[in-house]
Amino acid sequence: MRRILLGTFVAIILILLSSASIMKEEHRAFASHKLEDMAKRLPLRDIPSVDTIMEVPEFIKGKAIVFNLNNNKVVHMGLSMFSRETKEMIGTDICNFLERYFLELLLLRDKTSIIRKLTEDHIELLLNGQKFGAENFSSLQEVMQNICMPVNFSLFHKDQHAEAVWMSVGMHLQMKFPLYRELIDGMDKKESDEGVYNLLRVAVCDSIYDADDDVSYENLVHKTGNVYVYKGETFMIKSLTSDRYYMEENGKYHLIFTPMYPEYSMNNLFLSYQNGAGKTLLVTHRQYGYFTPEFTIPLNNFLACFKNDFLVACHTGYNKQNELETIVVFKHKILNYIHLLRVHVNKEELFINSPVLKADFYSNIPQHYISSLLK
Amino acid sequence: MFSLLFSLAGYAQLEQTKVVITDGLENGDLKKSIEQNITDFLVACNEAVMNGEKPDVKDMLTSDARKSLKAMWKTSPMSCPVSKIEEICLKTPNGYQVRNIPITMMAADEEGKDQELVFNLTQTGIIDDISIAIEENKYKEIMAEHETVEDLFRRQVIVDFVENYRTSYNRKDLKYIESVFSDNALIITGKVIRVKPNSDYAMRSLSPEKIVYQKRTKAEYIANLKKVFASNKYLNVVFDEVEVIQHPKLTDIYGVTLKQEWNSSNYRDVGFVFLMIDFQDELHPLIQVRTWQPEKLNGKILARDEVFNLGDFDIVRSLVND
Repeated sequence: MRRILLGTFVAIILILLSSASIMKEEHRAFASHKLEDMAKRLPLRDIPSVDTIMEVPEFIKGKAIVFNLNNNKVVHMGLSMFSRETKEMIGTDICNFLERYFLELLLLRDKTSIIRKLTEDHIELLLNGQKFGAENFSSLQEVMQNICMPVNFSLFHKDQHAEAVWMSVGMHLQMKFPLYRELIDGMDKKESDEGVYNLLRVAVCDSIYDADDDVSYENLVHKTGNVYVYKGETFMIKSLTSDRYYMEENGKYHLIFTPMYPEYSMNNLFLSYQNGAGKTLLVTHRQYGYFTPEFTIPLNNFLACFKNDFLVACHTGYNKQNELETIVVFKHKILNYIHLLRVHVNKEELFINSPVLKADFYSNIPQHYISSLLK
Repeated sequence: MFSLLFSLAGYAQLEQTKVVITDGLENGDLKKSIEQNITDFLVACNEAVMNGEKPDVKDMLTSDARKSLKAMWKTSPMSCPVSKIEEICLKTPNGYQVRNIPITMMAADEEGKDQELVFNLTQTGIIDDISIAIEENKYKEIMAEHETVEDLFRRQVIVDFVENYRTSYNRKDLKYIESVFSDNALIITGKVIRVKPNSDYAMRSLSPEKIVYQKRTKAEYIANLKKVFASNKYLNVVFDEVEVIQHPKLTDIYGVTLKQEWNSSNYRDVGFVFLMIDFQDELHPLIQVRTWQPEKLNGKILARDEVFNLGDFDIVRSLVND
């Protein structure tokens, strides 16, 4: 009996050891170098393979670490501070940034390194009005452990800066940070370009976007003849706008898409889903390091990819080859960066069935540090 | 004396100059106010010239504008030779602007007599500044330069290039850095040194700094960078400010000035980087010149005119084409 028990025990140990070695060999991919580096420094033998919130008491007591994965790749890791619902309400990008940034700071452990990182990232961290490093605010570990969730949280942003505030009895924690893509995403240009590329490769357009809302006369400005303009936003210069062009027919206003007005038609294509069905973009994605993959994508799928977080502005004219050419700017509503698309097509081809529009796409162009772009 | 009387008689009939705004203002009251203020201003000038006095313009000008007018009047009285002026009103960040208002500078010689005034107005339509306009066609030329989508597109592509370039340092990507420098690139690095202290004790405390420039070849620069990459665990290069200027004649050459923060494991500095970028091959721009200068010298931020710019380099096109 003793032999049987011993044998069973040995067998269990062997099974556990072999499964552990299999897990060790399993390669976990990360969306960025930063996440990979953080994972290495976490006192964890394995990084979870599915979305997980777990406590790591040897690292921080009473708080959990959150892991999000997409397609077996770790896309987010941070000190868990927000529920999924809160993130959706406030903005997942910013919430994930706050979670990740606090984890990054905690991983640094010593005060000098934390102060240095905050300085380099132009971030101010204050507890009850005192900057990190001051007498009453020298241990971030302690402060984070003492925060009892849920706390009152608010987020303000104006222009290129934001401020996050956590408030509970006797505690007022503030973080003031600049709003730029690299800091918020934690990715460099190459990683972000790849991210946009992967997003576009799987982009789909919900059919509900096919139809646009009707416009009424009161919202239109008369331009010329039977052409009217629905005024939109302007980006940097007055000719780059999200103005949409309408035509009056029998007392109704239709979005223009007719060979009679090729420029207005082309322009409208990027500001509405109405006439985009059946049209394809042949995109050359000009990424970091002269990497220029080409792919085709239905026009509306491309536009749908940026529908929530970006303002779209465009301008259409004729290029030197006398083709219609549209410059389209996708400006992120909060973070200070744009994507830029230059599309060109022969005037006649625009109106045939299933036309292919050639385009160059430049992604993740920062805007936050430009002092005089138009000098 | 006779000629002066004759010229004054000629202007007498123009006392009642009238300004009409034809476009650019939807607010009727504001339009009326701006029209009235500029009209009153011009009438006051005409009357002052007729009477040999100073114009009475208290109510329609801010105190700053009154100072401008006083200074201009001292140089030369002016009058408006046109009875009705129709102009558009432009919106500015601080208020409004009306351009192209014709005036005669009484003290100027024949060639310089006919000028145009620009009125800057407050949000409520009070005249806030008056200046002599640059020639209208020149103004349009400048505005057109600043407002073309093509130019904006090019500049955004340059910012994209700059961001790729910066990223390459963070990634320690020597291959990319090599690929963006022309083989003949001129690379200048600045180094701050302290001038050898004078034996005099008082002078020693000043110990002024100066910049010593070194010229490097692309190969030398890359070899040096390789050592820097190897000796630093991490590198974080940040550009705080970017200015993009197109060469006035060689339009595919751009000057880009960057304020660079270099953070590495064992070294940190802040300086100005100037890049001359050649966009002849738009899809593969090349850096022809790179300079670095410290942000501060003797505790003061380097003056902008001391930072290298496009004008500091003679461009020989055949060399650029290499």
